[in-house]
Amino acid sequence: MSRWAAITIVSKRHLPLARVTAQSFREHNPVPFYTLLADDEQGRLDPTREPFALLHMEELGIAALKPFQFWHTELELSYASTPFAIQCLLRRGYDGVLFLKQETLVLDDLSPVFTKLAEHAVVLTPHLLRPPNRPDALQHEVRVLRAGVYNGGVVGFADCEEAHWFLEWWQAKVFRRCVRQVKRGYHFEQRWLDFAPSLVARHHLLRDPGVNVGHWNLLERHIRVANNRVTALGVPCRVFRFSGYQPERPEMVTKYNRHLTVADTGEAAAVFARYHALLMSAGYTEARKLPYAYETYRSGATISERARRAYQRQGDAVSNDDNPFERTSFDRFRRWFKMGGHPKAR
Amino acid sequence: MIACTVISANYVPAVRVLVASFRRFHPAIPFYVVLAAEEHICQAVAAEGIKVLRPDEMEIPTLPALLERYTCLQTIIALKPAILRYLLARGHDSVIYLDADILVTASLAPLLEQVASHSLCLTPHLHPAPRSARREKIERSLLLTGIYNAGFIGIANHEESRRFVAWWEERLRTHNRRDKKHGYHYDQRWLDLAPSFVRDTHIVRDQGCNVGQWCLPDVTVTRDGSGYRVNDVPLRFFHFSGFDPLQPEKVSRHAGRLKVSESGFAPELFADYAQLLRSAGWEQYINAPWPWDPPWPWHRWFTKSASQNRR
Repeated sequence: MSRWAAITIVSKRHLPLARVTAQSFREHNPVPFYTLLADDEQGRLDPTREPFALLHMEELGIAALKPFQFWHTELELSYASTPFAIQCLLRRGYDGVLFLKQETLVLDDLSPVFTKLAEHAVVLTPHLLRPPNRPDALQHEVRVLRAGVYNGGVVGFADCEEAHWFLEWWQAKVFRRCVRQVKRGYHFEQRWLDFAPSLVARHHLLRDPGVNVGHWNLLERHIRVANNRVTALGVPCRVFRFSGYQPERPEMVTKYNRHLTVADTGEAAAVFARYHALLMSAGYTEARKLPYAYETYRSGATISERARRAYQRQGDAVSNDDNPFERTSFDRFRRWFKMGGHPKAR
Repeated sequence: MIACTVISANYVPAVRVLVASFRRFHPAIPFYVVLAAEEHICQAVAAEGIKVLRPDEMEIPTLPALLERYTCLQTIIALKPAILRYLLARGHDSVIYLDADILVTASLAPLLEQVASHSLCLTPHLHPAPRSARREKIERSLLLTGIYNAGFIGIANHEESRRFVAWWEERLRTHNRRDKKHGYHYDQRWLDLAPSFVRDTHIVRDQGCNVGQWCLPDVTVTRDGSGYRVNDVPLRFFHFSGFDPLQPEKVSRHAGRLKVSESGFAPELFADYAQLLRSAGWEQYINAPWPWDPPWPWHRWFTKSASQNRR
């Protein structure tokens, strides 16, 4: 009997997303569900009352943890932690780990996915399964090419040498840079998955239209809702993704496509309404007000984006036990003064 | 099984070398060459015993617009899916496409078996290898230029692969451009979608297939008694992308100033290939004109089809 696990990653502000994912996952799957908190507890949550097992960043075994938390922004940190979190669970003795990105609703049993994971090292879900049949097909394909051919929202890794090799490769890619700069070919952690089929011989591309339905394929999947059962292209819809969904604007499907409204999606609107209600009952509004631990220096001053990038650019000059959060603006002034006012002094 | 390539007149010597090297190992497989050139060059090449197809023989309804819109290089690339589509429509069970700057150095039999048993075969630029500075640089650049090398395509005659070729041809008809920032890199970037669109896509894991400058420094090519070897596997075909036989000491124009002697590639391989190209008439054909050049240099900017082509 194989041991499986599932995991998601959130910061404190997005805890309700993880709650909804965990609850919906556990409703259909007798598999432990973990949540990595890409943040610090700061005494603001009670792990015993959550529907998931809580993992902390310290458990991931990242050598340069403080610099890692400093040079990524809130969203980037949760994305860059993905390969670390997956490998952390694999090292705990699970035979396979399924990663579900925040903003996911599990609607059915995921055992078909776990079965594939038993036979392969890496399981990926392509954004598109066939050339899209829509007026802007070409533009949509180019969007997918620029964001990554495989979706980073549902990925499975089995405990084998090949998967560990790829995870370590992926970690090296996103450790220092996990940004969205599509003109230079970067799209957070997702673009790097394009290499997976060429680097991992035992990979599997999951072609189940019911897994990983999201705004990029919503219109082609013909969502139907009957008797509380959701189907996509006639098969059970197992994982529905709400990538870019903003509960403050429930009429929009995603912030990434300003032309797509929930009303356009037909019966899928019922799924959106359900997700909205679940988020609200999971405490979405209250959680929005929670602080992000790596937003400020220890002194309380906000860390600017510029400071993060400047620190990132120092590259290998940063030592593993450096704690950039301890810096104050006076330190910067002192260093600048020591260097004779050189503009490059940081 | 059938093999093909597409060239303009300046690659006639390269294709002579390619076809000769291919025939040495696979004399029974016909090799078709689409030659976009003036009539007398086509006739001269056909007289050498090479099966020549002219672009207008391939049933491309939009050929005149293509020739008007695209430069020489773009046209040659846009004809790639067209020849695949044409040969599949004629009932061939499987087709391989090889770029003209390829040299076959060993039997392709294991590769051809894979091509026959899968809808689509692709060769990735990179195989698993330890990390190194140059490799990371190449990985970053491949994000913009494409994971799979478009110098080799293996395709079997299935419903899904025919649909894929038709889709590829349609994309290259209008968006065969080099605009890496916006997600275009000729035909190659589109291939990244192939594993999603073709269920039975096979990724060739033989390191000896389609070796080129992008493989450096993960590979070393050496020569022993039986032939060339890449990291202990036989070198089946080498892709001399960006190599100029008039500067035989440089690996490629895509690899900066890297010299053959400083790379991990066997110097004999490059010296032999340069010699083969020169004796096949490289200098004679290098300046062969492209017959469809516009009447004046800025013509394309002002014609209607070009303005549609721009973003």
